Amino acid sequence: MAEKNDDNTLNRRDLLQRSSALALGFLGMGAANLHAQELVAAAETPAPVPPPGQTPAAPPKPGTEGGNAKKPTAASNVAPVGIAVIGLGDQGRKHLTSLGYVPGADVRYVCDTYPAIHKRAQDLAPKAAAITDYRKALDDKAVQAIYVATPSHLHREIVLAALQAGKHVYCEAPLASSIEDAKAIATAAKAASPKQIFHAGMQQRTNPQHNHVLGFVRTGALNKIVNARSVWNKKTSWRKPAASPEREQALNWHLRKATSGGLMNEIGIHQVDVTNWFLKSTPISVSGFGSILQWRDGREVPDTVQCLFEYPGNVFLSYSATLANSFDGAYELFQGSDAAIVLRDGRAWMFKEVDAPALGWEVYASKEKIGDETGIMLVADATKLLAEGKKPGEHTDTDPTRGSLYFAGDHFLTAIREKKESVSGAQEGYEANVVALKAHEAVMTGGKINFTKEMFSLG
Amino acid sequence: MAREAMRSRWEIVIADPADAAARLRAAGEEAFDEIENVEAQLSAYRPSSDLSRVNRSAADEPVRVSPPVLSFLTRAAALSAATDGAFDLTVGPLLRCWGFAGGEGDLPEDEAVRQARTLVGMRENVRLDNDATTVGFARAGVWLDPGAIGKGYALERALDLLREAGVRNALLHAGTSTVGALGTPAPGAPGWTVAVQHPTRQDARLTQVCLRDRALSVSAQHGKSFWARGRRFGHVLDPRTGQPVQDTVLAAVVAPSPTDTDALSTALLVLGAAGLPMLAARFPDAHLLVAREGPEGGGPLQVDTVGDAWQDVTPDG
Repeated sequence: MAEKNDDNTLNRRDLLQRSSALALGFLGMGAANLHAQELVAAAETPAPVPPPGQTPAAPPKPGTEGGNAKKPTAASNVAPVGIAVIGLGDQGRKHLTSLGYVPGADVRYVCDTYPAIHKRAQDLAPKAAAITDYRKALDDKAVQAIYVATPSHLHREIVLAALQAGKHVYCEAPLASSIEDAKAIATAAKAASPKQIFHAGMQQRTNPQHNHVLGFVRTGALNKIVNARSVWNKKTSWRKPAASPEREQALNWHLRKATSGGLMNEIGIHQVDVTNWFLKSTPISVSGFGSILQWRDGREVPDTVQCLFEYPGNVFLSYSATLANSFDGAYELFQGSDAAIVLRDGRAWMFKEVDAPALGWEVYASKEKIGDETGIMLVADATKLLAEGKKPGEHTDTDPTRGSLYFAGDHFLTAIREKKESVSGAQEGYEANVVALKAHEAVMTGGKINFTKEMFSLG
Repeated sequence: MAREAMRSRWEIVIADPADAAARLRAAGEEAFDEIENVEAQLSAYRPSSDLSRVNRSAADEPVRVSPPVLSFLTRAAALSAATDGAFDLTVGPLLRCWGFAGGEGDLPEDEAVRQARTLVGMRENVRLDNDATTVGFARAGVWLDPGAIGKGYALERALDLLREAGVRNALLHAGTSTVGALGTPAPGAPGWTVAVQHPTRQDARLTQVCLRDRALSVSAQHGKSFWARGRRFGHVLDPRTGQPVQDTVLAAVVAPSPTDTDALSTALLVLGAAGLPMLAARFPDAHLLVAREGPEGGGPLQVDTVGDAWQDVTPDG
């Protein structure tokens, strides 16, 4: 166990610099770290002992529902896919950065109606031509795939035109700012399938970390899931700066009622989607609350929101997000009668109850008692990452070669090459969008909204 | 506004009219975000950064990096060439050899210095491939440390974004080693006045400058050093000779680009006063200042300058 000492040394140093807010909430419980890079080790260990009353299950196979998501394309000897990225704001440029590392990603065009942004995009994709009219990319036969990263309320026209032109489409989440637009997009995507791949940018579905954790959920490690909680906290104005009032207006579409689904549709959607996915269900109802408490700068959508989602079986997801305070960061928590799982910053932990049955793989997992009031939380280390000289679990989301967008891009391009549907397709994207938009509606009205089956149907 | 990044406290002061407060705050947030982006790509302390991946693997095979990282390294290589190697990102093995990487310093064997020197020099040891967007090392042991230029580069990117966002008057500093200025602090003012601290007398200033759309970087021999064979060895090493810099205690540079000032202040500390004519010829926009110990030692410093940026130079504090 020579490695273990190395691990601990590394982590103690790193973690001492960080006050772990999360740890405060979980004092005194034993934590086993679940990290996607451990999947090799996990697969080699004996099968987990199932909860009482269940038949033995296969070892958790991360990515079983993530399709090809679990295995990022390794070699660079893959067929290139010609790509145009439309919409060069923050998200579009993040995609360009990630695509720089995705095998076979051949970015041919960067497109934005605002030419002054072209240079920043071309810094990231020097070989791409900059255009202001996306139709030029649709007309080019060398372009097979279109990334739509424009403001959400402008997705519809571009996605429909791209599908019409026979292109594969990666549509950023949310699909749209209105259910009507989302339905039009998802319906057209479904009609074009399976010939054309449609990928909705629900990033966690293609993220190996989430797929890894899902393996534990599906094999019953939590036993009965009784509660879910997600938060997103950041002190930021969430406003984009620009030199001219017109440009500023265009950039800050997400702060206005007419064009935005607010925090729930633009940010909460990803976390609500994880719950939909892990619980294998859409919610039955949502109650929402919200207000503008910090940024009274003329914006029309709340900077602080809370929602309570009811899922089948009397399981609730409580969700809160604020732009006024960053304490506690962002995470997703699932509580079961035997254990809880927390997903946070590209890492995950399991906290077992003392009366929970032992799991077969448990003895192999890194564990640490978290009873230290400084809030030090040890992150288990994976031999593979250590061998690469990395500190496992560190900065996974800022690492462009391991970030969510990288895996999403790799999944999308692989789906195109293998002519396989994306695991984050039209239906998944639409369901999450409907839930998030209704949640936003509940926030804006302070009321409760019931979901019906028809709401999620694409006909 | 302030934020922590690159192990320093960064601060922005925006002096534009307050009627656009929301926009200015958003501009500041974007600038800080960019500094964090640069850190994520270039930090030698983050295993996931492009630069860390390069340091780990570029001796085995070319490592794919993002285009901005490649252009950063291209610029660093050009600055290394323009300073005849006095500034060079590959100086790391020499620092280790002299025990300054994490330690207090120790006299190395001549052979160890000779060995380390083979690993130093971007021109000889680092291959930048623009077509493949890759970085390769000529031999194992080469190591890129963005320390001498990373903050200046991040600051330059942040200033560009502030300018694009319509900010006209602002001061941005990284720790206190590099400061960049846009416009002026108040209507009618000639620029932002920034003082350079005296290197040996606390609370005294060596000089001050007035910055308008310019940057200032200061490099000094503060901190780590050790005594051996009757003399002091400082932690600033000359990449060309492998030996510690002798008598220069402080170098400061004012120029339009903070990336340049950051690199040139390091180069000037290494080159000393003898380097002034060369740098002045190659960087006509730059104002240069070098301070070295006076003949008696402990007395007033000897200060040499190029350019008219340096006001009220007081060598004796």
